[in-house]
Amino acid sequence: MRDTRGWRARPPHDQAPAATAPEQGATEPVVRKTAIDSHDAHILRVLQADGRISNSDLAQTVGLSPAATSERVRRLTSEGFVMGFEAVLNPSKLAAGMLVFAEVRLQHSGQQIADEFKAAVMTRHEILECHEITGAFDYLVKARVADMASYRELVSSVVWSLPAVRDIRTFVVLEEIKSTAKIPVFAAASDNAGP
Amino acid sequence: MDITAQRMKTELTTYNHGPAHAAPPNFSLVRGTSAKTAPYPSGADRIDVRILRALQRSGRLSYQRLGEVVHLSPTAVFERVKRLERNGFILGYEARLDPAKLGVGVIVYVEVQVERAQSDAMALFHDAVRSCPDILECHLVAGDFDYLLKTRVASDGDFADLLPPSIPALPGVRSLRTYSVKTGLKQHAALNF
Repeated sequence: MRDTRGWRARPPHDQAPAATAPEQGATEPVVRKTAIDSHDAHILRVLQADGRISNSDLAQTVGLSPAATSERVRRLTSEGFVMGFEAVLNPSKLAAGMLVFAEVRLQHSGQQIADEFKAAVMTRHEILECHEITGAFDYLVKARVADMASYRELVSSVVWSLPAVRDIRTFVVLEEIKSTAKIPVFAAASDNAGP
Repeated sequence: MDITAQRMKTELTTYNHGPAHAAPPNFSLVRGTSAKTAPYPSGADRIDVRILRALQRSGRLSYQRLGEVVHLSPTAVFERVKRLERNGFILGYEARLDPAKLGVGVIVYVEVQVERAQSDAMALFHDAVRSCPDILECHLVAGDFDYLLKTRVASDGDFADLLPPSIPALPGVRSLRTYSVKTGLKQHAALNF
């Protein structure tokens, strides 16, 4: 963890003009290794916003023919830019309304210790994300549970039953201000444009 | 119309015209199903749950294909999906893109402390967060700090630790702490229900 007060702005770099503007206020990554042009970027942005849009509506929105559009979508999928499509569901309606984050510290470093913890994490479906962190703690866990009693059970199963875990610090989310998986998409006007 | 189709038509009518919180219908007399209503979320029955799970996995499933999965006609499935959307079970549909291929392969979490936890200052902060595309998640937490933010940055060497400038520029920020994710064990598991 770093205290970033006094953080300096990233050095400016040449921004080549894009045919289709990305979202207002999004920051373009400094090094872009994308192999997509501005039409591809537009298609990806639309698909991120409306995953069930028909090919003809998509074609109309991006200003290409339906055939060209579906070919681009096919290529973007086969090349792995599009990993899939999903319905975004409402957690509070599905009895998983309590969101918690937990900072987990393990006893000491070691492959076996980590493996035990990882196995426990993979088993529990309430745990949606688990990230290995560079910093003062080892893992950040994101979990959705129905209530405190369910969380207590989860902690008892993953933490208290595993000697590998030293301690956890839980942060209960009081309000989800924003929660999206949509990432800003930019076209590569030129490859590897840097500062 | 045979008895099964007739019963389904009745149930469909109930859904279309009944209140949103009506008890799920009892499908016990439909061949092959059991009357399980208790474990399901209120306002969604066993078939809705199967539809939701299928769409969560594969958001562009056609109504034809969905119908095959849950043994209903495409029309019946369409009605159910529209109702699930209307009642807020389904918030939308999204393509899931590969962040690494799009130049933002590294996740960075930011712990934010705000100047004053006062409702107008907070509203300003919330609005700025919502209109900032770089910020993927923002949670008001009970803890040592006020908000936990999630953003993504490029995965190249020197630049891996740089925050998008929009984040320190958020209104009312007193201090920030950042940490980056080394590897993801579980990145994006489906909602469990």
